[in-house]
Amino acid sequence: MKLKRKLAVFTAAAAIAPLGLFVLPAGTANAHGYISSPPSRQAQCAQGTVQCGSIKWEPQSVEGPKGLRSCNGGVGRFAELNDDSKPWRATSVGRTVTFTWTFTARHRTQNYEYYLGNTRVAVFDGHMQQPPPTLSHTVNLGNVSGRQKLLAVWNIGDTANAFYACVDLNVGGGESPAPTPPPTTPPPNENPGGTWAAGTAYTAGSEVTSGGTTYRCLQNHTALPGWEPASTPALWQAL
Amino acid sequence: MIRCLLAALVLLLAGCDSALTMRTGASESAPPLDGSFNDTDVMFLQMLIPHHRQGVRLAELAAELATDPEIRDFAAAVEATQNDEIADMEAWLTEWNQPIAADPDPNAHHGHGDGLHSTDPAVVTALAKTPAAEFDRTFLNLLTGHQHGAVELARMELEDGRHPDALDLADRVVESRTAQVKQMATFLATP
Repeated sequence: MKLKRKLAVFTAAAAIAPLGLFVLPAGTANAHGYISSPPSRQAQCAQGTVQCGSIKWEPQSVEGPKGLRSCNGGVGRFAELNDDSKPWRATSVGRTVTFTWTFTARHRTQNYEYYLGNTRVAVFDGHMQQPPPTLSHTVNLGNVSGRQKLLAVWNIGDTANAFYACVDLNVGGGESPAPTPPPTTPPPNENPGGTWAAGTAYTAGSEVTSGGTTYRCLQNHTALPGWEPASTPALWQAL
Repeated sequence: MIRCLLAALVLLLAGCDSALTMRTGASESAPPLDGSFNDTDVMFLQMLIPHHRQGVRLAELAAELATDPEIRDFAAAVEATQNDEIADMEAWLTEWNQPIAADPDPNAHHGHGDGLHSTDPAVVTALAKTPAAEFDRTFLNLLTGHQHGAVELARMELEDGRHPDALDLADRVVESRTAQVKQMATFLATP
């Protein structure tokens, strides 16, 4: 109830308030996105599964002219996405795979294409419309097995560009897709106390020291880099 | 260490010794006496505030509606920290005598950022309508995309910004949002 009302107020406010900031010609809105599941190469960079350069901060930015068949969309600073010798993790799947996109900006879409080598195994019409906030496609890979490098292409409707994402797959015989392998992030340390450390799960009321100051936790959370107690008064109260 | 290097690099690129003086001054949070903020600082804050508000709305929903209690805690922490950051950003703009909202003339910012990365209200509405069985995955996917947008804005600030407080915030945004994306990937991989 409370939430619904807040949401309604917010939606109304959002419709009015940022007019100045958000009025831009339709053609200049930025389209950005990538395949997050099964994790594409740029997703593995962002998730820290594989060590990468600047692509780790912007997995959504692999944008190049339409018609390419490369993992980096021809973007020089993302060339490592083409490097098959990097330890990309191949997700075990059946012949039918559901691909999920993550968007930072949704742009009018021509279509989505899926390639294995030079064979286009699937295409989905975008109807020149803005994609929904979340989007998944179920693709039948056909009669293939073993390790495969799938290329997904998001062709933008009103620019000459497309977004590219390579997904490494290990295609088994079965029909049921295996769960995504867990990333390398270790499970949170369940034994808090002492010196604040990223990766530790803290419960409200627990105390830590950081930079010579003692803090009390105000909100259950797992500590992250960038959430140091001194800069997150909402999470930590200095004692 | 990395933070110091980054800050040094930013200052080198910006070539502004006044900012260097500010950054190493006695009071970190004091406004710059010589008004040493630039257009990028102002635009960064003016864009990040509404962006943060959208993120807070997503997190608020998840703090109440997520199935997994760990995701509820995560969302509540995101909500709380971003509300803190919004308060800081508004205070800085006020100290600098700058409007909280951007210049209504869209051309005023032409050539700075090349796009808008705010999660639009339709995204918040879509999450609110998501059935319980799909809620957690949908939230994680939407917030991941949202935080990539915050990192993009912060990296713009780190390249061209000047004010030490705004640069420090940008540093923390890059660090914490990158870590959040990793954490959300871990949640997604847990059946």
